[in-house]
Amino acid sequence: MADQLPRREAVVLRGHEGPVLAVRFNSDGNYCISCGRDRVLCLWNPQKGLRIKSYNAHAREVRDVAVVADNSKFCSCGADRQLFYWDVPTGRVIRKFRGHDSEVNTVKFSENSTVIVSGGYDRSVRAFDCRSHSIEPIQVIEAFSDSVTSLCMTRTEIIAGSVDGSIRTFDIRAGRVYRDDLGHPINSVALSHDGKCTLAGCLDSTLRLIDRETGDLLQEYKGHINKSYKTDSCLTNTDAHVVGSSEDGRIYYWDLVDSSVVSSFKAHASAVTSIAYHKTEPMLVTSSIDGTVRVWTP
Amino acid sequence: MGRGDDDGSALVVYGTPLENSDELSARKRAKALDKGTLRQQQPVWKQDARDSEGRRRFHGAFTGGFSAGYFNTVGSKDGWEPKTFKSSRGSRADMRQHSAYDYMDDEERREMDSKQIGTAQEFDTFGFTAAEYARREATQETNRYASFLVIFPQDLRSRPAVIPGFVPDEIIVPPTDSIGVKLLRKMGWRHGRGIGPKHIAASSEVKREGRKAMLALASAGSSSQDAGPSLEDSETAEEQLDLPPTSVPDFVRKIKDNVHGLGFDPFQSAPEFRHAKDYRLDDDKDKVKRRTLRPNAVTMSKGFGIGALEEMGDEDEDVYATGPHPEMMVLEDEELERLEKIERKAPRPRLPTVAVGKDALPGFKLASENTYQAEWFHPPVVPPDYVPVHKFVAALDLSQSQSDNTPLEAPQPEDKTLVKLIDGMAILVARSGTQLEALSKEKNKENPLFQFLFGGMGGDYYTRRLWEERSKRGLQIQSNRDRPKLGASERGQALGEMPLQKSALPAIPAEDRARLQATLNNTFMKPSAEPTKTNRLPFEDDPAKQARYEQFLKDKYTGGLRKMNKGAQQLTEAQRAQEILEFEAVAHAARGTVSSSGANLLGKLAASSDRFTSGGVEQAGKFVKSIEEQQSPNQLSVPSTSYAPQPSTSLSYPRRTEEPWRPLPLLCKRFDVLDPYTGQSSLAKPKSRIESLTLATPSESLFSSKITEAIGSAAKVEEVQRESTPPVDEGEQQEPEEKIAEKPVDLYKAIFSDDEEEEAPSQPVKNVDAANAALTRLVADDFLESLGKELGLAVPPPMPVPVKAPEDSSKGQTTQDTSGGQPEDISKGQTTEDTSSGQPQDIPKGHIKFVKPSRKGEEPKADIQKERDEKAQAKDAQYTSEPEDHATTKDDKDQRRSRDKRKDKSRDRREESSKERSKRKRRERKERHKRHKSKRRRTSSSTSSSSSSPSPSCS
Repeated sequence: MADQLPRREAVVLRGHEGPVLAVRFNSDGNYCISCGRDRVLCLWNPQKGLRIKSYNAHAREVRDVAVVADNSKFCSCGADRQLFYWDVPTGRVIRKFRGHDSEVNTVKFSENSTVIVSGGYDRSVRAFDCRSHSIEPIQVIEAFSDSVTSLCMTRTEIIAGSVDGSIRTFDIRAGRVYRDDLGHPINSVALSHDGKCTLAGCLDSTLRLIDRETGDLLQEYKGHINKSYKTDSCLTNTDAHVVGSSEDGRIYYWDLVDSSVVSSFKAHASAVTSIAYHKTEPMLVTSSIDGTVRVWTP
Repeated sequence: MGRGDDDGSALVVYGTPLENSDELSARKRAKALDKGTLRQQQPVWKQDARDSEGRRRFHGAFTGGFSAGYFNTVGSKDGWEPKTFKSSRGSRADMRQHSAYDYMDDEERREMDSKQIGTAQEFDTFGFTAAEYARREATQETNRYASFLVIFPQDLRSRPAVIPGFVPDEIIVPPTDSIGVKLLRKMGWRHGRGIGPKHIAASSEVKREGRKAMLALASAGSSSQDAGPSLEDSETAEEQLDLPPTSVPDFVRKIKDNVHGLGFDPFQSAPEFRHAKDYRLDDDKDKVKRRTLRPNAVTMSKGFGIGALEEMGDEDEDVYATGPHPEMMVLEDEELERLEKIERKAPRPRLPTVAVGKDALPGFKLASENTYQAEWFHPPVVPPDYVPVHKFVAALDLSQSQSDNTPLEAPQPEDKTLVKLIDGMAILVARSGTQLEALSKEKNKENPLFQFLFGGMGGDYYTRRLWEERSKRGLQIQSNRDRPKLGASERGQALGEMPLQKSALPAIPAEDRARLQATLNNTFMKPSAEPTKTNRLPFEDDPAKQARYEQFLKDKYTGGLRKMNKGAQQLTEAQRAQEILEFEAVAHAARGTVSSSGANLLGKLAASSDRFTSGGVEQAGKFVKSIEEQQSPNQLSVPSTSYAPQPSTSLSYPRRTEEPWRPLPLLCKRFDVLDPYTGQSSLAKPKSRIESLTLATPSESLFSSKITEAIGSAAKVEEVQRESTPPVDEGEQQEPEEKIAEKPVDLYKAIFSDDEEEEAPSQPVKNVDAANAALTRLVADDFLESLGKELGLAVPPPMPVPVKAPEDSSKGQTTQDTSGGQPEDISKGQTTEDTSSGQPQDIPKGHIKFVKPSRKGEEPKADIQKERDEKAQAKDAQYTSEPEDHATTKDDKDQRRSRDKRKDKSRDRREESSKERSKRKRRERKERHKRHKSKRRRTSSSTSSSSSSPSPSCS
């Protein structure tokens, strides 16, 4: 199990001028898309290390990107407070949503790709409708008391982590919001693949695994450094390990259950900003302040 | 021309015919030239070079130049002529798919066609394409000739035409018969007849005759009369058999009666054996040796028939037999006899011959023999030494080892390495069987170290060790057998399956896990009985306490009321509480370690019970010790150690709170979820409308604060108003009810809609709350301000003179137009109405913010307008200096008074405080009226007159 973890550097994707802030796989995992402080989004083939296309329209740094389930479009957000809805093949911006009142930190699509949900520095989560031509949000959730750093979606829920130390789960079906207070600023939120647990990366250099049903703390993962940067954490495709990124450029693998560091390696020269794990295969992409995106395989 | 018509074939023409250049198009002429018919007749100077297609080669100024231009490629002199597209309702242009063909000339087309692969005419079995082709050719030809006939009657000789002139298509039958049809016809087949032996085999005489005739025909090779004898032949056959003409032969597959693979023919290269086999089969079945009579029939391949020219020994041989298949035939009664005779002559055992049976359908006969034969296989022979019970090697070994005499206790050899070697070898051999021993014996024959295998040094010890190991293993096997069942995960492990998804484990709640731990503690280990070193317990030095702890754990997770422990009864209350706290801490620590160590909890549970409990409990034990070390005797609280998570944080975080949250209906729709709040009114969101308004007005800071105030209470609203306009008559103002209805629509109406509408007496009466009025007034105020800003206008320009905004500047005009002028008039219009209706008019103009009960029937918008007007004026005042402000208020009063004046002129005149002011006022008002009139004229003349009438009365 542990020897199948991606630790070998397969490809280095170079092309960004300046820190890469996020990297995401597309829905089938054949491509990945990265964005950075150079205001450019790059579409890559991570297997071959090819840059396929660059998307250039943002006025300021691009902080996050999300791809539609059918891979035909994606949405990006950044410090220019807007959400850009792109067409992948033509590279044109289909729509610019009136985003947030300040920097937009994170963006995700709903499961049926009809709604873009974004979280921003303006302490709000906003939902935008992809189907209409309106650029206004269809819902603004201003329940947070600090910047919303990370989002993840299930079929009917929006899970958002905020610097105010809470994970809020907005259950649309039930019409309720569940607030899990972790006591530490939350940097990243990730779902396990069975959808039963939430992995929250906290700014006290700890990843916490929360039972979504009850809100119990199931496990804590320590060893990495995460105190000031926005980093990502996720679970492997088998849900057997937890992957975390550190500010010293290392990647850590923990055993999900006994929270022991299974493996760790130096991935980047400087802080890792984002990681994404392939949905089906053991493959990891990491992006860093050092301006590279690296692809890791076992 | 006339000559051609008379009798073309006989006519002989001399001389050059007259050329009718009108009728002869260049192309046709060229074709004629191509045929070589025309050229000779042309004089030399008229002849020109042509290509193989008969087209003119040279074009140009002096007809000698070669031109590769448009002449031979595109349609016209001017080049390619595009087709005009025409389509009307009557005649629709058909949508046509253009192909490369459309842009090719004849030459290219021919070239293209020549590349296509098609069936050659002679092998075109069904003759469809050929027939089509021939037909086309024929029509072309006839057309061509028709035109030729007109022009060159002398050419009629070249084509023997029965009917001169146009020949109808139907008459021209293309001579297209494929080679197969030709052959068949030669063999006596006719169109519409079935192919096959039925009618041929039916009557041997007829057939023989036919065949003979056919052969004769074939040798003669006269194709002209080929249909004759065969026709006769088949006719007679038909006459006798009355066979339905079927042109499709019914193929019946040979029944597969062997066990070879499909399509495998064992006799492919040895046909003699096939014959032999058939013979044998026939013999076996005691049949007539039909096949032996005609050995050549067997050697012939069955499916293909014989050549037409082949001489047959047996005329009755079924030429087209496709194998032994049941043939169904309809026979006339008179034919039966003959058939029976044939059958007798050559009975075919496997073919159900044609006869009429009792039970069969008319014309059918029951098969005399079932062609289906189930083959019977003998059961395999059981070897005599077969033992039907399987004996397991290990068990045998075990029994063997147990039955064996136990070897004597042998002393260890001195050599340590040898001891190790022997031990290892023994274990290996015990595990893998004696084969390994034999193998290693063979391998290490020369090796002195392995002498123990051959009974050398250490041999005794080896046998002893081997016995020990074997017995151990045997016991293990036995114990394995005693064990009821393997766990699913262990079995999976043994089979090399992936272990269960680990993520499933966190799904087990922490309590459950701990409960499991507790039960495991109870079931699998007897800690009080023998606390081993590895199995350290949290309270091993105090068994009573340990028991209590266990009881505590059990109780903790079973729930319900907690019984007092027996052992705890002698403890004091404080002690008990402390103990419980301690237990809690220990349990928590244990839980933590359990969750950490229980990676594949269930798997381990099945595999090794003792190993499982060790980790967590050991650590828990340590933990308790550390607690006890730190604990002072009277300390009540459990101290937080470095290992355990801080109780305060662990208890407080993560914390879950739950509250209702309303997703908007559209969001629910987009998430394909039913709105959980369907049918319920929206959550109290009084701000929402106003917020939407706020979006419209960019000047938010001041505005929103005002808004909130306005919402807060009506009193506050009044305050706001007081800010803008000093209070005049407290008594006139009324406390509004605090009910905020949505009214921004009214606001917009008030601003942008026609005056007419507002003045219409039929306008439905609305009851507007005072608060709302105030609110909208505020909104309007700020909206106008922002509007002015947006238009790039200084809303109320600071003026040295306390006059209203300047009229001459375009800036001020706009602002005033929207803010001041129009509503003023409205107010007046209102007044006139009021007078007409006879309602009391004692309401001061500027302060009709809150509707008096007496005035409830009034149009509220007008009020808003007035307020707005008022407000605008106040604003003007605000922007001017202090004394000006004061002046404006006075002015305001004046205004109101002027209203009153309308009712009582004389009083008004008396009360007028300052003449010049009023004059100025009047002037201004007039000007406004002028502007307004001009506007009104556009909209309505009647209203303008009514509104303008009071103004002179003012003065």
